[in-house]
Amino acid sequence: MNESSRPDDRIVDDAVRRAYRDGATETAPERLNRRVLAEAEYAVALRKGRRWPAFRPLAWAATIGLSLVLVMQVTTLGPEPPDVPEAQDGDAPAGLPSIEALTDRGDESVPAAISPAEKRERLAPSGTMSAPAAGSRHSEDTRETAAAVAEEEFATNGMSRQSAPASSDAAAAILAFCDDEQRRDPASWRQCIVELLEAKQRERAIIEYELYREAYPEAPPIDL
Amino acid sequence: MSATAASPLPDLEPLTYARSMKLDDSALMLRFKDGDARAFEELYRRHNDALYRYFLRLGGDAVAAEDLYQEAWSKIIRARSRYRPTAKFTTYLYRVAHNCFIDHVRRNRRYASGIDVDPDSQAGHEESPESRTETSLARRRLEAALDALPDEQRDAFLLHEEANLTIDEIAFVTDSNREATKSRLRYAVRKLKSALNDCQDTS
Repeated sequence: MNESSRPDDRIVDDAVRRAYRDGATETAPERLNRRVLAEAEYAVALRKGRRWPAFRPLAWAATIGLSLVLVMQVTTLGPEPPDVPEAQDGDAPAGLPSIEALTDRGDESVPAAISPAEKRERLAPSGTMSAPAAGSRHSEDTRETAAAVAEEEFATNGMSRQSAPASSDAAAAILAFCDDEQRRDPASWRQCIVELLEAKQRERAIIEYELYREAYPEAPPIDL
Repeated sequence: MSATAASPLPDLEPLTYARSMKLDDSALMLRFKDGDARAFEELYRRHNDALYRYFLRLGGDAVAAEDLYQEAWSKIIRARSRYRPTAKFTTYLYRVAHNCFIDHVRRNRRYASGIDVDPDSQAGHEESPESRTETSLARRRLEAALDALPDEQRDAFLLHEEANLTIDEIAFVTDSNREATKSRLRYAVRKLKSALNDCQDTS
């Protein structure tokens, strides 16, 4: 079909073609075939799982329930009892259930003594519905890019990136390089990446480029 | 696109349906986009070997070829929701593949420098005596000459031969113009033909 479509496409002569085709007998290894087909099946199954009608209300109910529990815990534990001295220099009062034990268990970087206001502030991301959803989705589905996740979230939940807590996860930080408007169009996304390069923000440009590549694999490459 | 998605499916397994109706590539891709994994399987089986050979010959490195091959298919799978049948699926597939290769070359600049191939050194020292025929020698010469081509020329030749793309389609895939593409293909063919003729002269 290609040769007959335009006369000047008849460039490759028969001898070269025959010699090439005689040698071009390799086939894709079966293990690669299995891997690619498995990935396709997984992607479809994942998508179907997300589309399951009962899934979304249940997920919302679970998130709201969890949020309520956490808010109640904050409210209950919020005011420090007057007879208990304020902890100083990182010494947590013995015998008092620390809020960190309930929320930031295992996080050694969190100081033992913080004010109730700070505690509420720290709990805020956990109590916000958008942040854990984005984070857990990232960990569950590593095949999706941050951009795809964000876009889907914006489309389905009407949430903007600005509504997510700034410190929620790394994806939020990544989303700050090029804005959503730029990402909707490959040309403007490329422009943003070029501008990052011009501003000597090479690492950010590389991250954005990876996301761009995932979202638009057919779009022209950029020489980083 | 939506017409394909909305059309009622007969009571057949999707793959059987695809085969019985001989759906074109774009229709299969749209079915995959709508959640039909078997449509993807049919599509994949149509293109897997040619795409594998494209990477194998383009980079001259079997390990890199496998990685790139998988990467290209993964990107197509992951970006399926954005797929629009604006061009032939083969053009889309090889454009994604070409981009994967370009990114790979740029990530490993040294890889991009042409492989210095001595055609005579390519004569298979592990081959059995019966394989040392004129045909196999010609084939080895051709493969060596193909390896020795500049990336752009080799790419154009492989897109023409493996993907069956026209010059205009190759120009689109490689993001270049028609004349440059035609010129690359001409040079590639001239060098390959010369390698074949050398082989005939020496034999």
